[in-house]
Amino acid sequence: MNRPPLSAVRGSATPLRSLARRELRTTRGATIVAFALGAAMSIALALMTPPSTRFSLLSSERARLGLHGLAGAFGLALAWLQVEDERRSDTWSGFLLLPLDRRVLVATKAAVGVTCIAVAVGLPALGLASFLSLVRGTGGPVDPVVFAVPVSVTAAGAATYFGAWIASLAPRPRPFGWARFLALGTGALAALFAAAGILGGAPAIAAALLPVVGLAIVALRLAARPVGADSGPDRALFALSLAPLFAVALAATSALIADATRSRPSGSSTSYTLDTNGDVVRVDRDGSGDFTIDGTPPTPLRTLMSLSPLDRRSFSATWTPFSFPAGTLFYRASTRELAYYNADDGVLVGCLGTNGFALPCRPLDGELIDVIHNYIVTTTRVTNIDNALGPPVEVLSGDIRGAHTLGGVNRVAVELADQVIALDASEWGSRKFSRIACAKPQGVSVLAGQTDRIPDRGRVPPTLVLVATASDGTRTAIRCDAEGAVVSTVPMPPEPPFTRPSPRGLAYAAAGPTLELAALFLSHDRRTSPDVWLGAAVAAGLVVAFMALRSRRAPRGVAARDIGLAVLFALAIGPGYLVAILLAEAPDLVRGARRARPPIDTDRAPAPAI
Amino acid sequence: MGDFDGGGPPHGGGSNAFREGRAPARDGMPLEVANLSVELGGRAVLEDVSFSARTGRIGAVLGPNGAGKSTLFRAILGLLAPTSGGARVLGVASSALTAKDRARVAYVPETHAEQPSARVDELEELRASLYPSFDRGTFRSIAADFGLRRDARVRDLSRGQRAGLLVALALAQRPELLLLDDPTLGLDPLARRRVVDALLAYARGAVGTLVFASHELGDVERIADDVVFLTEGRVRAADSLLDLVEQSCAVSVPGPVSRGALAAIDGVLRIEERRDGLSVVVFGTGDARVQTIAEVSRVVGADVGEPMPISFEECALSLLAPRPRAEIFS
Repeated sequence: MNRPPLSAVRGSATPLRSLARRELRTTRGATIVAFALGAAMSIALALMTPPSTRFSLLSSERARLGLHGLAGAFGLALAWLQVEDERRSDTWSGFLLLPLDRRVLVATKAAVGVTCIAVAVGLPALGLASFLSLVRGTGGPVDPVVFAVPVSVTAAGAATYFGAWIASLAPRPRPFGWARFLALGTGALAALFAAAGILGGAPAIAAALLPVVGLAIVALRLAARPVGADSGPDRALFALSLAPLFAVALAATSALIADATRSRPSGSSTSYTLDTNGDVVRVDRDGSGDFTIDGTPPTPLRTLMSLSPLDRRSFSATWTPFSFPAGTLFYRASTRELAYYNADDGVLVGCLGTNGFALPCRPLDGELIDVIHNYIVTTTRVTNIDNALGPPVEVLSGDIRGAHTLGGVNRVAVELADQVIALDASEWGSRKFSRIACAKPQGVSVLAGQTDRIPDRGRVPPTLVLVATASDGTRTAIRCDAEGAVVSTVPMPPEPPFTRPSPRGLAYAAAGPTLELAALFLSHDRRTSPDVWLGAAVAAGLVVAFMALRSRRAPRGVAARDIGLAVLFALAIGPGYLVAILLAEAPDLVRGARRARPPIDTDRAPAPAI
Repeated sequence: MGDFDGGGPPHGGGSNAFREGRAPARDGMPLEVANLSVELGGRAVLEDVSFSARTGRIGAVLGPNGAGKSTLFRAILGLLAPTSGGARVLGVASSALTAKDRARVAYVPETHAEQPSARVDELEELRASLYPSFDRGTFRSIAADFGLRRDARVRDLSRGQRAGLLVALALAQRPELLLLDDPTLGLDPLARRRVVDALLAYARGAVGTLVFASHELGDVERIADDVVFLTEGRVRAADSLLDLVEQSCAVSVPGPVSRGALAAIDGVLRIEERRDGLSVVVFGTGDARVQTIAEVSRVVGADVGEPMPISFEECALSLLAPRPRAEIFS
């Protein structure tokens, strides 16, 4: 028999392309569905966020958990299709017998899988980051930190992908096949998070990728060797089977280390804030940007007083008849109101709305408070008077759910649609609570700054600093006096608009989602809103449904029906997710629509009610 | 013994040397299995299996369900690591098969599994790009025999068509060694006949060696030159089909006889009830056979007469059946 030379078997691009096409046939459908879902999530996230707060979008819980959850679920699905399903249906043997080096075979398979993950979930995240970088109003110098999210999303998917590979390649018969598959996949994800969280710092992205690389090496070695060969990878496999345990141990250890090494400078303080249930919790600030939160009993209702509407006048007189305790002012984004709480017992004193300090006032109940309906709060920025033009102490976005302390300072500034309002509550002793406002310059995006801790209040009048950011990134500090008149303007160096102050910086961008996931597993953080899991839940449902369809070896007619169902499912999943998000947002949307009234005419504001 | 040798190692390299490295294949021996043992999940699936296959011949591996046939093929192909012993494929230890070696071997699993979403023409393209010796004409000819449309997807094919597809892909590779794990499993008689015909056509070319596992004794008798009987992970017998049949015979035992005593005789394969007594299947050649028959006569207390030849089916059933144990009948 005349046989052609076999020298062309290895190293030729054509066999590799054919092999890649073989893998794509397996992964194509799932990748398209996952991409549709990832794109729907990204579009939903971009569309549902106020333009001026999009810069913090990729740091939001919804984005992080949604995209990373989708990536993790998709990694599991791919590993199922490419390895577990192949082994169960016995096409794995034929694959390993193909006339290419086995390392090339499994590496090609893995490369196709990782590429699919990058395309399905990394690409939408990249598109979202690019959109946020390019859209006018949030433009300016591009901060590379936002582009770490696509990397971390892809890494999360790769972690579950290779973890599930290892679970599938375990010697058979395997006990708890399904449980092991899921546990090892998600455990790999948790281990990735924990490892990156412990190391922290600038190398965190590289550190976060190291576990993925390690998993990939073990998975590829396992795939290329004969079943039953007792070798180093087998022992590594056993060790990795304990990945979930490792993950919990690593997360717990990291929490302990962080707690033990956390410095408590003299600048630490205690304040109160609201959780998503409307309960008051005590916040201990250690001065380094970290918080410790302890819960307190729910806030009781209390009727105290009534104040005049917010306007350019001082309404300090309205406080006079009452005993006024030392407290903390909060901004409650959900109802767009300001609430004052007693610092000693955390009891709500009153809420400040367009009708003044309204009564009765109930936590998170906007029905009794006429909100500042013509004011769209976008961003609140608190700065230090000693470095007023430097980085802000804290930035609060208007779309954050729940209530947030306004930096724990007595005077705050809130940027509204057409003006900036500063509330001066520094003189609690004299029971004065005054308001100053400054008109926003037109044609520029304004972020409000707040002066604080004025050394000599007697000589320095309350001053508001507006930081006007032009579309080219240049910034100008505008000083207003208490009457709102512009006193001076000072050029400022440009600031990347996406540099959101984060206690962990680059490390948080890369490993934050995993840390938060680990924290959730450990029940250390129950503040996570349930709707952020919608993406993960929908993705999981998608995976389960898809695998159920794939596992059916149906005859032609039934297969056609399955394909139709899959198409309907794919078409429904994106809009379905949007509907789910909208339903989750429904209470706020209804409340917002109900209060869509004409802007308040401050010149015709009613007289203060004593 | 014939080309299939159930004795010791086919060549004197020792088990370690057999499992590692490359060595020139013995002349005309593309497949050699020596003292192969495999454990899966702590259970011995194969124990001390040895046989070899000669170029251009068709070998069949027969055994009941769970005998270890599929495990044997996987171990031969290096997909399973043996606990001891090993196999050589085209002169190369199974664990050291390279891409070039695998290009000379084809394998059809018993599940007839292929990617469900793959089309027939896509599989042809894939194999053609990977196997330098792939013969599109052969593939298309066999595929046409099975009524395969080029744009049909695997999941839309019947079981028989899937089997035909895999056989066509394997034969089109023009392999030097073709291993088929029960290629006719679950097929209707017509599809089974087509598969067997395709294999026969391949065998007529006498370019390679074909080893297949099967439960279909008729197919085995029709095409196999050599047979390995595998029961409970061990080789019960391995020889040419004709020799095996020749070594088997039956003697009729009239009247009531202690079956336990018959079962205790060495060389007695099977004791079968007949209307007029018992039929005792004896396995052996020459003096051994004579001694066995003489022992049967002694137990019966009378001359059992001349041994009668038996068919391959009877021979195979006797070799595959559990060995008669004296205690069962006592």
